[in-house]
Amino acid sequence: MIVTELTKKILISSVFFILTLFLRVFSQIAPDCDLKFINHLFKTGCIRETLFLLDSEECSSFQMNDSVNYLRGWCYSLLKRLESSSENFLKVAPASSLYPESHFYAAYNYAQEGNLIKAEGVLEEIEVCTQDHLLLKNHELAGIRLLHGDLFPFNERLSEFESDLPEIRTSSINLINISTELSSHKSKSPLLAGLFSAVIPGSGKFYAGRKGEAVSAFLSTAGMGLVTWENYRKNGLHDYRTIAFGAIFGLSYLANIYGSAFSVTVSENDFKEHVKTEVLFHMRIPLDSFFNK
Amino acid sequence: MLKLKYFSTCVFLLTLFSINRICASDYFLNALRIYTEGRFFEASIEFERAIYYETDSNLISVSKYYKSLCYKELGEYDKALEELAKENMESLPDSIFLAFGYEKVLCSYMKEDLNQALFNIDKVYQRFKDTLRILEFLPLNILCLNSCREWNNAMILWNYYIDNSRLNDSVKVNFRQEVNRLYDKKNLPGFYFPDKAERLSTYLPGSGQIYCGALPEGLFNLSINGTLLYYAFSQLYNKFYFTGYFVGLKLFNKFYSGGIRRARSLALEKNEKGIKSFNLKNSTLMKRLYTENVASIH
Repeated sequence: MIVTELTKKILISSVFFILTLFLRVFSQIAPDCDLKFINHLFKTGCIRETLFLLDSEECSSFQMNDSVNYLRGWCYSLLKRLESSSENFLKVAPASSLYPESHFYAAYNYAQEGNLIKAEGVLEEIEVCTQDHLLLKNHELAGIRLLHGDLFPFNERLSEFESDLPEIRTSSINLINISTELSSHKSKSPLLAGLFSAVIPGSGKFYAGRKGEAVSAFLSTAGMGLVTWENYRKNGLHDYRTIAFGAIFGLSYLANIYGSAFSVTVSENDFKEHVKTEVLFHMRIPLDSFFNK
Repeated sequence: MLKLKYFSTCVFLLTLFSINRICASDYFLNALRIYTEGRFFEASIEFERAIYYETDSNLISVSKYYKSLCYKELGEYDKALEELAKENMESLPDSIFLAFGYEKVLCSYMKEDLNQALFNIDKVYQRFKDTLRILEFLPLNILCLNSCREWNNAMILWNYYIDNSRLNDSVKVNFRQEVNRLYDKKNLPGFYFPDKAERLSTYLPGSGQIYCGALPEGLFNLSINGTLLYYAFSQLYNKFYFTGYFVGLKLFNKFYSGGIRRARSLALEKNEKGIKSFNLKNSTLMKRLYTENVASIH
């Protein structure tokens, strides 16, 4: 009787052990996408590693998983691959709780990349269900209008959101300040800069706001001019030194005219870049505080 | 029957627990397999997975150690050091402490952070005072001391290293002679003072480069500067004031100041090169000693 009881126990133990071991082995053959661990990697700042696992075969069957797409969107965003980031963010379905955040950041990434039409399209299509989301959407759209340089539609947008949300209020005031700065900004003409430099070398650079460069350009061009004049006066027009220094002076003079026109273009681009950075910054602040980033 | 039910439940839970333990160590073994296959980036992820799921503190430490090895293989010494720094070394058993210590020293040396490498070596020596366990740290210590130009200390360590090897006495004598030859004053890498090189080039263009051993470059610099200066003064003498000033003197100024900067960078470059080549000779000798040591043990 005792022997039978013991045999039963051994038999049951063996069955359980083999069954669990079988399940373990089976689970190894078909490994799953370990989202818990992937989240841990992401939170510890291992972005390349997170992306590697998300792109691995284990997660290939999870392509439609909102969490996977959301994480992938963030990884690409942190790696500054903005186009891919937006594409992944946009895969997050409207039913997901991650939907508003993903789509807002997708639009922001497009805006950061300079694809304003796509950014605007994404924002327009966001299905907002709360008043706060609507205010945020309007704020972001206003920012994009400002990036377009359309001051009139931007001001129209402003009237649409008289927000009580502190996250948006401060940033919207800053956007208004930027729009004021934009409207009062007078663009400089590269042609005028070139003309200035043709009359007085270096003055075009002064006009472009580069005073140090202007003095340096004036001294070097004028110096070469004086050298050419000196050689012309003492050696005559057909002397090889007059011709050589004259050629150098001519080149320096022409290069200075071109350089002045180019400086104005660079200055204008710098101003545009500065405005873009400022606008993007004030579009990002409400997003980050809204979604606790 | 009731007893049997309780027994079944207990067996089920026990099995689950033991299988979970197997799973956790599985991650480590899987990571180790990937590591041996040379897929270091993937291995670093798998070691992190082992760290994340493992509960055994020793296995966690070993996983961190291997993770740092992966980063070292990938050339990411900062990350390797960061991983090693996550472990409280004082609480580690001796064998793991030594492994951690060695990697810290090696990564610091590879990062050319010599002070940190020497600091880490000191930490190991403090724990293993007067024992032969520090022997494997000696080659790195010698290389670090060489980089700091502490030749006498490096020689003392070389002799200690040879004395404690298992080579027979005649071979030991040979190695000692080679070390003495290596550290002979005329074989030591020269040191060019960057300030001195700069000063020399200030007084006489090109002399800084010649001081650093770059004779053709120095002569070229001297002749260019001389020609330009001659041109400038000849123009001024012939009353071509603008040409003398704007062409001759301006160009001379450019070459002269450029030559001074070049003399300084050349001194720094030569110093670094000298140490690297000297350490390469040391490494070759260390490899030979190690090989003969292993052969004598077998």
